[in-house]
Amino acid sequence: MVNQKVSITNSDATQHNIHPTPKLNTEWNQTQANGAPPIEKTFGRAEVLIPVKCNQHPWMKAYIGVLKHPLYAVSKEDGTFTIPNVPAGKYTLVAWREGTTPEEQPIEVTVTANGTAKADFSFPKAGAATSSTKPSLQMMPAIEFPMLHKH
Amino acid sequence: MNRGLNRFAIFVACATFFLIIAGALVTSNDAGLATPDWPLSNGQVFPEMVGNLFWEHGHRMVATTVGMLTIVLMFYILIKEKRPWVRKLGVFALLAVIAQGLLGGLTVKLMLPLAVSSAHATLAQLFFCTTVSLAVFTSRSWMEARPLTEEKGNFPLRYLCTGALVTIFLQLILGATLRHSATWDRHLPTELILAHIGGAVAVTLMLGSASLTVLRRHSETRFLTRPAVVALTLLVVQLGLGIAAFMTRLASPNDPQPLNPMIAITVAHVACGALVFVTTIVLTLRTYRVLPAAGNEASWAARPQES
Repeated sequence: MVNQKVSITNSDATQHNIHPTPKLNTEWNQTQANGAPPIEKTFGRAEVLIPVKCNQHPWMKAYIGVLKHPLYAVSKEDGTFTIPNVPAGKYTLVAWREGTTPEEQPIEVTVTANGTAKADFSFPKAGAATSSTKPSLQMMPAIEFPMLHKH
Repeated sequence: MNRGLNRFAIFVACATFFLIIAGALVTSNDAGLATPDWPLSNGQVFPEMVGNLFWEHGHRMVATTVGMLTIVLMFYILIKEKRPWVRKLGVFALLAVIAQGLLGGLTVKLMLPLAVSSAHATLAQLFFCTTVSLAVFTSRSWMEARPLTEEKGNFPLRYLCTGALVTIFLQLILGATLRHSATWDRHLPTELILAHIGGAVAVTLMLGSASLTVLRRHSETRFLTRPAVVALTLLVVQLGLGIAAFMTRLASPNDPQPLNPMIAITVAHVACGALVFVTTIVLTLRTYRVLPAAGNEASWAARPQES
């Protein structure tokens, strides 16, 4: 959420640095030794998604989603997701998946009072979506990140 | 000629080449921001060399060493060298390495803005050019009296070599900009890729014609043919490395870069580019040393005590 405090801890036996690279928020880069106190930050603007990397270990990557509302979910390993407590209304639900060219899919959904709505997303197989060239290494499992935008 | 000074200048030039490789390893490993502070690393003079901190802090240590060597070289030149312009070049080398260090610090503090990172990479090549030039100017082959070699063609060779040198330098700027315009997880700008490919064609034409003209016109003058042959050989290697870097990136769009093949090829491409540049500098300087200027027979070559 916008201006919500994010607490970052390092439970590894080594040090890392936390380096978000946002487009709308302020970029920062801070080293965190193992056992160091948590780094607490906030992001003042809605932004989906902010890549976060560790420049000491370039294979480490994460994303922070900053939204104006609490209506979001991260899909489970089997691909399912649930967004609870959605007020009745018509929404655009957006699913996001990382990749060299990150992909987004919007779906229109209508939620009735005390009812449920279902939305199914289908992404091409990871690694085949951005290029016709086969990846030379196995791609990491895709992360799907559905979000809601009310009309 | 002072043999000790020349040997030390060569040593500093070699150390600078090693520094360029160390800098290229920082970029290829995406290690430029492994520590957010400068000049200390994580608040320490000698931090624990964890992960990419090895490359970034290692680069800083090599750079500090080269800076110290440049200070010694400048004083060595001021003490031993009589030619005012060589003395000035020695002072310029020190100013360049100080500016380079500040640019390095600035790019870390500002989190790698393209303009500063590209300027840092470009000044590295200019500083390497300076140290190699100092090694050339203090060498015996430069100092000893040489007969003026007759220019055997209509178009002066020194201008052809200068043209090749300028083209290579522009290509180095393009390469530095391309390299720092995107991290591994982002696409390179197509227009910059095309410009760099166009630059490679221009360098091939310019350096190829300059070197082949040297070989055709002055095949008996080893003073000129040696750097020409080395430059041509390095050019072929450099083109191969450039194609290899491009193909490797194309073949692995979804790989978690940087992986070792990508790192090795791109660093080799940077290092070989620097070698092409300085070899062309040696060739160009030597054409100015032994070939007459157009319409002016009294060139550098006619005044060995001043050159």
